[in-house]
Amino acid sequence: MYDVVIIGSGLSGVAAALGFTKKGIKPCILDVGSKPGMEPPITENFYEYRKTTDSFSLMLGEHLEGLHNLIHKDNHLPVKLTSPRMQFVVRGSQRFSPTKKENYRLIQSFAAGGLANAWGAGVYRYNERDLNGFPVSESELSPYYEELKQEMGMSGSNDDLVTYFGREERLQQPLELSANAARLYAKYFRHKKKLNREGVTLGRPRLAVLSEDLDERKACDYSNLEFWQPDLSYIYTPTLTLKKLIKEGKIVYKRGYLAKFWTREDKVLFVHSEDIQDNKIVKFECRKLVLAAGAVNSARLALASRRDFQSRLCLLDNPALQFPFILPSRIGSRLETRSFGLTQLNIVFDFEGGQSPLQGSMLEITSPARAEFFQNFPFSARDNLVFIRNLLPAMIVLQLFFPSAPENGAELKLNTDKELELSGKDFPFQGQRIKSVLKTFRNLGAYSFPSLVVKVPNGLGLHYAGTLPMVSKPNRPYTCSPNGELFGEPGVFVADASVLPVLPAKNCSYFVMANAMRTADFMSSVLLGEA
Amino acid sequence: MSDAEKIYKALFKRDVPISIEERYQKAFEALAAGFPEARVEEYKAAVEGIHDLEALELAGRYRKKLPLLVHAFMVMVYLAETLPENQSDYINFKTRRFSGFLSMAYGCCRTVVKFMKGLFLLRKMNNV
Repeated sequence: MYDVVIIGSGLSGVAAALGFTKKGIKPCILDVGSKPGMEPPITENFYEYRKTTDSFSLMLGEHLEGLHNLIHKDNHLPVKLTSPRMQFVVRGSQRFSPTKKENYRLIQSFAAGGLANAWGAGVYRYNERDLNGFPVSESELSPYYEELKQEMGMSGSNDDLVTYFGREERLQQPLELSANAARLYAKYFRHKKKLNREGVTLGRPRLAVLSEDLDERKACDYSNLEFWQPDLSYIYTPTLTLKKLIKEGKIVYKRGYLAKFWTREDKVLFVHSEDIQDNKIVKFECRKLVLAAGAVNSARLALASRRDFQSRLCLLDNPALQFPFILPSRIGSRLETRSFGLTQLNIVFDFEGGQSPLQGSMLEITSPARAEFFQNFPFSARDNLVFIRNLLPAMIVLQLFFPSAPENGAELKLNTDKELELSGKDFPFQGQRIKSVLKTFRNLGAYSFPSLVVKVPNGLGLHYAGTLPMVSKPNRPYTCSPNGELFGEPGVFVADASVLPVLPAKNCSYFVMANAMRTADFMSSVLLGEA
Repeated sequence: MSDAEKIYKALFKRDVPISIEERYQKAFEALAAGFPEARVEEYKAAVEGIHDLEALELAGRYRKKLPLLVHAFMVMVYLAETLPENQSDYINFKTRRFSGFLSMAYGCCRTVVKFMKGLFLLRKMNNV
């Protein structure tokens, strides 16, 4: 019998495992654990590679994975997940977690390391304002943030955004800015007073990305491979910690098992799991169980374990808008082939002081295939290529996140066929907000039009949360206590983003990891006390 | 002339490399599987009967007609990007501000002409 079984090896599962090992407890992680293929890694810059090598296998794949969104129009994936080497992240998700979706796009991962294999690596502390209504304070999480920072390595700066992102000591230097981002940032300082008065703040992102070497991991080489290659050493993913803990013999990693539900006999919990090789059910015994399968699958496990086909749980995700901006002075420029292809800058719109602010990531678009933008231009095919060549080097994309609360969350239910039913609600984006954002960027020398702003489909914010919210005094099923214990399920704890009752407009990964470690800490003290 | 050759020529004004022709065939089969037979027939008629496929694709895109041809062009744009010899069709490796502006201005005018021609071809196809 294991002291602890953790379901899932994503950010929260691995952070919880790390927390247990620090207290001398050896947890068992149950995981489906899909892995990337064995293709040799690309060791040079993406564009240098393509100048000399036929990149069909890298960009489209022998099974045409890169054309997924054209061929499977009803099952649209984010661009990064259509890349042949990244598709392992979502492999088998419909088989392992069948879902019926209505007005919702759900992306699930059963890979070792979970969805974080393809994350943007943004790591932001939740401050007291973000934690309003959450029964845990910022200071309680603070020591875990510090431990995680050491584990992951973090670059960034304590700039104007410190009010929103908190102060971080011992940060590595921020990554080099792309030419487009550098121009915007310079303009920001010219108009800073005015913008700050309007509630707009711009700064460097906090990223779990190395700008300097750390142990055996190499610093970012600006190779633009972020969309194309998994396990880049400079981007932290949970698999780094997972591999380390396995190597050091500090955890038991059971790969190839899909947890279905749990039962209990006295104080012993049994996790009924499917061996995915032969479809047989295997029972794992444990004293405590940690749900870290992500907000959707932890909810599925909770519903399935209670054989509850009636309850509807709330699923949160950040509603988001995408703004393409053009910097006219950069039209016709050379494409910046040496660049970091993810977040360059963060922007916060604190329009209403008291309410949760909006937060945006400004993304460089040097990493995706140029063909990805073909259908966004309105010209004839050959002329679209002319615009791709000349306009894309002058473009930067803002992904603007909005906070989410139960009133605009999706609904999730398990049906008797063991399928999850999901139905999304449209978020009421206000035109006035869009105009304010466009005006702000005009001040920064970047231009766009309301008609070019794209609403990210429901569920593609990819920040799933809120299915098993944490409350100060839980009194109904599917809520958990401040220690993470699920109401009516002694010994079962929730460690992933399910615990968030509301979702601020800020990537929740860092918070979720810190909270998972805090939960593991509490559970360790209980287990050691019992022993 | 194969479909791939016609579409590739419409995009790049040069002969299609053998590797692209083979890959297009495979990609097209996967793509066409998601379309009803009538759309496939429509595509075949367009590729066989119309010389200026670029104009037809543009009009089809705006008029929401010939969806398989529109998708076939997109597939070709993806396939062609993977070859080293096509990199300069997608990427500015040197800054060319003046010629960039000129070629975009020319592209706008050319698109208008192509669109008019495409509408005419679309009508002709419908009448047939």
